[in-house]
Amino acid sequence: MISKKVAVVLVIIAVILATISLAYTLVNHNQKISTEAPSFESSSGSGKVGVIVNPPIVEDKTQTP
Amino acid sequence: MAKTKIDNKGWQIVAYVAIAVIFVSLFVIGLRLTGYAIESTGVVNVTINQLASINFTTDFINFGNGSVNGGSSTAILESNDTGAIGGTWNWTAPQHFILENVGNVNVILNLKTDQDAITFLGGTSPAYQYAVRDSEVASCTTGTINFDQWYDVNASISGSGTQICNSFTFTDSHDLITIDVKLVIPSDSSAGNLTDIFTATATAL
Repeated sequence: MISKKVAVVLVIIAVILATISLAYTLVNHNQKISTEAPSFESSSGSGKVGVIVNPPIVEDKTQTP
Repeated sequence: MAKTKIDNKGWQIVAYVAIAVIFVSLFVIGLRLTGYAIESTGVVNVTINQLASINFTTDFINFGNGSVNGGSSTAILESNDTGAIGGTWNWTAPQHFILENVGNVNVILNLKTDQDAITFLGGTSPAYQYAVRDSEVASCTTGTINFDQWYDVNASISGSGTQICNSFTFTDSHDLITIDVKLVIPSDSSAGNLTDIFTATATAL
């Protein structure tokens, strides 16, 4: 024979454990590993061209005697 | 007396139900905590998406400092050479842009510049050209251009420029091209430190 007090204690324990097990189940159910990755369909890059231009060399056309 | 008996029976039922719930809950929690698998099979699903990616592994052609020779109307500078014709520029070693397909997909490759010959160099009849060739065999299937031929740069504001490869492959040992640059600097060109940008755009096939 289970007394009324013991039955109440059992009910309380049952409720607590049921809540914990439900929480575990929900948490694990929502754990998903994402395999989605961004897709890049285009790309660009750049290079630089540099030149330093000085004034043209002027030919010395003066003639020494 | 009869009512008390019924009450007792009711509490008995409640107690047994509570015990059943406790056992089920402990079982569920135990499974979660130990990691014991209810199902013994698993599926790994991986999707590898397309990645179009290019990189200028050599990204600077620097002709250095010089001037057009006196009596010469122009100086010709070809980056795959080491010095100017008709000018005093010397850059000691050939220079090129090296472009690599570092993605995982073949791409269409376009090329453009920020400036054309007039805006870049100025003067009378300047030229600003490029030539393309494979650094690694079968890297680029050309479209509207031929390898090793000089073409005027495309500085159009809209679009991504001239299509130089119908297919620029990504496989190792077939994913590298070379771009040379040629300048024809007139004697009346702009003076100073002149720079321009080449932009390559890759679009996944």
